[in-house]
Amino acid sequence: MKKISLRFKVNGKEIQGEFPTNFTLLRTLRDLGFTEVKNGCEKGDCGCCTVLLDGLPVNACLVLAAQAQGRTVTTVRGLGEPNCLHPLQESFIKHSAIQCGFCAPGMILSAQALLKRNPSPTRQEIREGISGNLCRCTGYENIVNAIEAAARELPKSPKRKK
Amino acid sequence: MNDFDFLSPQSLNTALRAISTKGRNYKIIAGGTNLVPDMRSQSISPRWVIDLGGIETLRFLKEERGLIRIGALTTMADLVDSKLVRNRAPLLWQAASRFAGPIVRNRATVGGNLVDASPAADSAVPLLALQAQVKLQSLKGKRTMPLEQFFADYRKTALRPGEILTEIAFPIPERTAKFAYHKMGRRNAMAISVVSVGVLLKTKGDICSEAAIALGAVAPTPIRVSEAESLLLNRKVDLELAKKCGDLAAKRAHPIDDLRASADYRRQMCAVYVRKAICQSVGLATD
Repeated sequence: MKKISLRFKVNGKEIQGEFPTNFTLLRTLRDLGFTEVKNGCEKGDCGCCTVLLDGLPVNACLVLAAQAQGRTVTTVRGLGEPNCLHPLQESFIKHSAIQCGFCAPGMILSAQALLKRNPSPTRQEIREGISGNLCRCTGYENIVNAIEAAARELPKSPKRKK
Repeated sequence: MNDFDFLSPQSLNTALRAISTKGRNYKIIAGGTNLVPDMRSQSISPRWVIDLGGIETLRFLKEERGLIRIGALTTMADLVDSKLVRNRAPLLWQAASRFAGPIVRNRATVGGNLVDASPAADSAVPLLALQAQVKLQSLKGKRTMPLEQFFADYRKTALRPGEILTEIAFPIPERTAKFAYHKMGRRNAMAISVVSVGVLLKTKGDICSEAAIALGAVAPTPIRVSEAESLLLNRKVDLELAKKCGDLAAKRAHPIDDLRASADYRRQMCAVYVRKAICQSVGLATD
């Protein structure tokens, strides 16, 4: 198995090691214990494996781990702290936007990227913003509610993180 | 995924040198949104994968001497965010905005979409209508060709081993140019087109003086429909003429049956959407 020496950051933590060249970022993150990054379709259709790569949401299943060399990865766990959740995480809980929970990590990261670009989106813009993320429970209504409410919250939240 | 060596050259020259010695045993990766699934399904198994991601000079978007020039590594999200594209090439902007979904648009590149040469490549339709040229470079030199010629056959391009697509450029349409873009898929986001249509017209009064009509997903490559284009020339664009163009486009199309739609359905939709796009571009009712 061919390997490549890689160095990158995940949620602020420095990762360094030898990784197979043919591993995706998804596989690599999960092997490293970042199992909050979910493995869904493995071809970019479902958005469950969404992570932020240098701040932009990407499908981790479509990125080779080797392409993360020197870059910064943020998973949903890197957004808040267990005792100090990100407003989007709080809002998803409050609005019952999590049913089985499988899509939530990706949904929240897509929502975070949307709100960074567009702090007060319409419901239609929210729908478009999360259109790369599928919810098999079809709980979209509450997801949109949660994002809408978080958008109202975010500007006044002192804990907002990048 | 098969085993491969991974190289990440930091300049175009290093990349060209790297691929010049590898015959056909390498694949270039940019966003990876097509290549990674293809490698996973083992429909391709390159010995070398060469990542262009570090070559910043291939990622640009600029206006120069009446042209819009787009570096091959420009992402679909870059196109959507660009005021230049939005204002001066709205046909391309609309297609980019409907491309896959917002997450994929952050990785998928214009160059990658064209080199992949899928019949349903969504950036190809507006770029064909805009009469784009592509620039190819190898250690031996550079060449430029119309995008139409670049698409050789089903998922085949004119790229030779050792060559890299570096840039896409097209003349900026006049501000008065009429255009319309339609993409029909099974759903809105993440859909592979069943039919897509791009229309770009120039008119003097009611009379059409220039016409470009491009179609996706109805032939082995994205195509222009010159028969329908010539029919429009020097004529008054009305519903009757638009219908005839739609019928001609359907005749020119040779789509396939697949899991998304039957060939017959695609042909019919081709007629419908070409008619609609022409009518819409000039502000006519579509039926």
